[in-house]
Amino acid sequence: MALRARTQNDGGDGPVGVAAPAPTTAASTQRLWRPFSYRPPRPHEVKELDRYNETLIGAARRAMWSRRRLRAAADRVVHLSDSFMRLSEAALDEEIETAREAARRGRRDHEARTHAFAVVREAVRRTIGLRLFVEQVMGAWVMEDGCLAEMATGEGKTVTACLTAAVQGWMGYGAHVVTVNDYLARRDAELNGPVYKRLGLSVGVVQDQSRPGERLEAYARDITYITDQQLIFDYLRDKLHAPLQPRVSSLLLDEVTDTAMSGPRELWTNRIVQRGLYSAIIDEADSVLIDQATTPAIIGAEGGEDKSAQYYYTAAELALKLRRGEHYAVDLQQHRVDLTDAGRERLAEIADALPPFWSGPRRRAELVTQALVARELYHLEDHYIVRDGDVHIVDPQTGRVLEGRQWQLGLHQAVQAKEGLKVTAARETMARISYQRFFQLYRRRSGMTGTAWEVRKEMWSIYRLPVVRIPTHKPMIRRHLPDRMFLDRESKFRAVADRVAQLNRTGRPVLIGTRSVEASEAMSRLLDERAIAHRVLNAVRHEEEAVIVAAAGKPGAVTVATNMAGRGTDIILGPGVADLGGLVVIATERHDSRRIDRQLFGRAGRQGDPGQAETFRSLDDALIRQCGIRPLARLLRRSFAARRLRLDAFLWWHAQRAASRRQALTRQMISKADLWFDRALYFENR
Amino acid sequence: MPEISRTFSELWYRVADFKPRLSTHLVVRRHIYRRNVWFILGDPTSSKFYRFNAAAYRFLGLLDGQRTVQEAWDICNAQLGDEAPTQRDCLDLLAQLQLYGLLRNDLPIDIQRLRERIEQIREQRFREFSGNYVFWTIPIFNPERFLAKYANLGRAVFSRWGLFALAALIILALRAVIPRWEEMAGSVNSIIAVENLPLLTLAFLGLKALHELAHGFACKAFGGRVTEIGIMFMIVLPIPYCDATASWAFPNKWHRILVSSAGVLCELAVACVAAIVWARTDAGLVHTLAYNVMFAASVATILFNINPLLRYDGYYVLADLTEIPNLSTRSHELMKWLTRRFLFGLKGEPCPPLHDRGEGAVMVAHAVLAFPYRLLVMLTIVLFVAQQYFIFGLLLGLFGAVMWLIVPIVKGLSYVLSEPTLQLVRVRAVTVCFGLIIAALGFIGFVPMPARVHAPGVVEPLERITFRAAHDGFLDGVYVANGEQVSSSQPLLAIASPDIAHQYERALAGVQLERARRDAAMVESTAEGMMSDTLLADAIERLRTMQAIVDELSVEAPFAGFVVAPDLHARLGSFVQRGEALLLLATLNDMVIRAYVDDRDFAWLFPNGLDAQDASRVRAQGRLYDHLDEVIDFDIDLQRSGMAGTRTLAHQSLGLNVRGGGIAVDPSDGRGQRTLSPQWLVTLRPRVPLAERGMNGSANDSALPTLPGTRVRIRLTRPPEPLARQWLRRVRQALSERFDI
Repeated sequence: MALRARTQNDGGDGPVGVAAPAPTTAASTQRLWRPFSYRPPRPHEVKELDRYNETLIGAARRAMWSRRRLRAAADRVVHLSDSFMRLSEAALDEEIETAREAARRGRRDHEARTHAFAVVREAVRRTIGLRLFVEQVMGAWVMEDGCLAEMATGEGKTVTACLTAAVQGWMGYGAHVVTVNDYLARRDAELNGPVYKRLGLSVGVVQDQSRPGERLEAYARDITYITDQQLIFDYLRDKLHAPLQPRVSSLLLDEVTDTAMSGPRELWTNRIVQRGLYSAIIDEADSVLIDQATTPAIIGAEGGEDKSAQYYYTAAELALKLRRGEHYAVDLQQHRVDLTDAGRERLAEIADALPPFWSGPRRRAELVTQALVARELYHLEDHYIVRDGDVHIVDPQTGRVLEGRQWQLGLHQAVQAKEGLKVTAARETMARISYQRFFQLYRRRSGMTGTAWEVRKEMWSIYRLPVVRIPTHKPMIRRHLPDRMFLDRESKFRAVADRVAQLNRTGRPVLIGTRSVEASEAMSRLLDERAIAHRVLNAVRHEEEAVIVAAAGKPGAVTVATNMAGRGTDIILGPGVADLGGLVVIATERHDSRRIDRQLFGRAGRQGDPGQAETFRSLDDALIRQCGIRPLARLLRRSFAARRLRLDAFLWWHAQRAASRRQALTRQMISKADLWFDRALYFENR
Repeated sequence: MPEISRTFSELWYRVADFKPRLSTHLVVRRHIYRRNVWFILGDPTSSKFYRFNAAAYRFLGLLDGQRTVQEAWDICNAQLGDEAPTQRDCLDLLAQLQLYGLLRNDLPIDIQRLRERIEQIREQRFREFSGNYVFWTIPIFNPERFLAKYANLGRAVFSRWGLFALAALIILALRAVIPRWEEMAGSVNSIIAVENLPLLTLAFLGLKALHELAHGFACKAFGGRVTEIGIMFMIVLPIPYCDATASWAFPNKWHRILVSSAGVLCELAVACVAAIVWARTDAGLVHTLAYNVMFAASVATILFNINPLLRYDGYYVLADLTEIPNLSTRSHELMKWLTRRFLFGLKGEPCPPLHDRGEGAVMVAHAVLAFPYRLLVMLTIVLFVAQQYFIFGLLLGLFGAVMWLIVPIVKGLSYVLSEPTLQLVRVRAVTVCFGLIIAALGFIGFVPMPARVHAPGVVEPLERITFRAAHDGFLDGVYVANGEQVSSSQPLLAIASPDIAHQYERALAGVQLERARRDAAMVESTAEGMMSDTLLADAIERLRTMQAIVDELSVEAPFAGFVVAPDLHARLGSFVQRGEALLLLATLNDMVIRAYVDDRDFAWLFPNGLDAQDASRVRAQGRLYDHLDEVIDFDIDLQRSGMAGTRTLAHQSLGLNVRGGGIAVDPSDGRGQRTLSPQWLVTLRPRVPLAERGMNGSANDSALPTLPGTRVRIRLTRPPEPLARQWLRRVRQALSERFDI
């Protein structure tokens, strides 16, 4: 307690609000206490009746901000804010100081919040000339309340975040605004920069190429724009640099007595860049908290050539000598490969001629199965891409490259061996944290996204984030055409291309969403055949893509994009396009979750613009192959009557549900593993 | 991502550099299970045991506080190759040990964790206590010091000599009981009588206390610690228990078995003593008490203690005999795996470790039998309680139905519908499950099942006559032997009555006199002759009457039949009183069966009362003694069947007092003929008369002839009906009976 008071005093007369406090010893002491003194709630398993209780509380929290109450609160903000319009700059400064002081003292009541928001809204008006809509204020209001605001695409989320970020920034513990890529972090920080400046807040941006010193500085600012990747890896690196067992008691003792200012501790205090996790405002929250959370973040010691690389090559060779069906069975639905008895025998025969390493049947089977999995279940340009001689994982749902991630347990090596690349050593895990656990470390979380309603339960049960839907400023007038079903991918893609050609003649801009890089290439070839000028986006170079996406609304534009490409950038309709009916979004496949479908459709019909969404799907889509009810799919393939009965609607509905559940299961497993080693393997605090 | 590899684990880094070692207070024992070496780590402070296979133990042994986990694992791999525990195994192992606080390391103690752990344990205990609503246990005291003091006694008793002594005791008891076997078996009924309940409870409690002490002594005799004795409430019945878990660490399986069976052996000894006491005493308190002790020691022991399907002594004996420790838990796991793997088609989960196929078979059999048996026992207890205290029993029954039927079903369904790990095979799991449920429901609700009732009956002749002495007289002649078959109108016996003979003579003389008078009078005058005629007619009439009476004195067989007249020859010439039964003649080649049908079954068989329509629907079958291999069809004889319930049996032999009789009789009735519930007498006739079928020895010489009085079990079969309707009717009946609707 004493320490906390001291820190606040320091902040009071220290250089808060001024950019870049010098990393002095005093400052680093101030920075340090938080990561270790705040012990986040330990994850606990919710069982039986408690589960219902929790569900009820979640539903109640979501329902707490009814539209009427929320609008009334936001109206008050707008009203008060409008009354500030006639204030002089100096008078506004005084208001700012009042609001900031209130925030600093931890006033969180509605009155203080109304005042603070009004001040920020006025500052936004004066600096960037935007008058925030009531709906935007509503979004900020629930975020300030620790909720997740679901706001449709194009409603101005970037600016909305400004309101909450400013209030959290004033508190002085550092507010992290989390974005999905470096470009967006930079752009948003620049966009809102003038506002923060006017409000006396310092802003920092962490980019992939930022050096530790720059990071330290950026984290020390009031508001930090950063991607989830940078944030989480910085956290892990900090943990590695900290001494092995940072227990609260000993650290506190050091702080209070100021005895450990010299010696080895000096070394690590300056290598730690983060000053604690206090408040996170997460943009595209579902993408970060849900899609990213299917694999934990792991920091490993980079190894060079793997000592056991040869084994992976051999395993890949062995795998080639086995025949599918006879020696091993592939189960797409359960996503696994199993050796048959014949396969094991065959392996034993081959292994006789191999070095003794291959004599153990279990080890042998494991390695070869791994190689088979790499061959049968992981496909180039679908699950991964090869760049710079290494394998990069692609998120199969969004087409986004997961930088710096590796598959675990030798799968990565097996894929490398399959592609004939250099097998890098399996990175020895040094620190690991799941997204679930990491974001639970924040004392205050809030977020915004276009699509979160589908995962509202998970958002509550894992992150304690109630999802609140914010109405759009203008009514949405996007048209959805009925889905079209095809028997196979070829005919589907041809139909899409024909449709695009037809639309292109009228001059309407078209955005074609594909699931994988490979699909977007195939689509592109078909469009080339029909001599339709188009651009392809693969979610690799965010900045250029943002430009392309922004131009996708021009008349006659045809854009092929994976789902995540250019996310965060609005597609603004070109002149005359609205009269043609607006942008047409064509989904070439259903995604694993309805949420991601909606993300794609959300590209059209923003801010009351007209728009249209169409879906083309085929019976051999990955979704159906992996999660569909096989007998039903067979029936649909054969029977015209079944197609007439629209049984396919059920097939897809079920497959999508199963797929989302499967994803949720993976995340749940990660949470469970967290829980397990938290409870059982607490040997070290990594 | 599928989990392909178990050799490596991505969580390994958390333990790789850790240098733990086992806590020093642990006790290690080497056990052999199914020819495999296992190590049991015992924690004497908590009387908990942990079982490790040889490879895991090797790994644990390498952890000496100096080596890191990584080093120990590397050594294991180098030494054991493919047999070495995987990283995943090691992680599980360490996690488990850490969880139970059996690892020591040099890290500072984390108070918060400790507190959480304590809270966890406390919560777990509370859950165990409150969750186990059927068997509440309340510890009472620590018998360790007492047992240690008398440990020598235990060692003396649980030795070879003790076994010999027990064997001798058993022989003595059998010698005492066998001569009075019938009497003993006959008294079983009185056990259930309400007035006997306190005595039975007393016997039961005393016996169980001895039982538990025996466990304690046995455990102590082989060096285990016994630290807890208490009382367990089985629904409402308090039963003492004794914590002899220390015996699980005994390396010798026979020692473990002996500890597990010590209680039963003790009860056996007590039962033997009680049997001897019972045989040597006459009716009285001691006699009854001894009988009750015998009953409690045998029946309850067989139902509960010895039975391996409930988790009592028998279960542990079985587990040790088959060398499958943790039988129940592991068989449950195995069943779960089998279901998930084969019923639901989920691949990739490793099969729970098994030593051999035999082990798997035992486990499956145990799992398949134990659950229904447990249900059955619960049901029996509930029914028993309900008989004594209806409302309480009803509540208990409702509670039981919720806990043992509805809750498992709901849990099972929600498992299939929402268990995350089943996500990959959800469609199949749901299809299979609902398919099975629908099949089961369809079977119960729609497939007609034969519905039958067994009724004890007696063979009786279709016709039979008892010949009684028509008048006082002396037995003059017996022309047939007992058991002889006679044809129609064959003379049977004759009675000489001098009185009647005299009267006959007088009547004869009277006729002659009157005739002479008439002849004389006819000469005198016609009028007088006419008068004499009347007198003569009177005299003749008198003579006729006398003639009839005389005829009655010699008896002829009215129909072909079988004579039952024991000792009649011996009475030849002796005086017989009028009305005295002398001889019985019965038809033999045409028999009827008189069967007793319980009131409930009767109402169920013949819902409209016994009318022709109902009777024709019910099929009656049975086997006769002379043709056991042949099932005979019977027709229900409506005329001869009773039209109301009776509580009196025609024969003692049908009552429960006699072995083989099936009808519960009132124990207070000395003759054993008054039944507890009303019985309906149903008369059945063989569809094909027995005579026509060439019965009575002609068809099968070696068989006994079917004699009147032999018992027959008749099977009455209703037309097939779905089980659901049958059950519904039973329930309705039970309710209407209870509430007199």
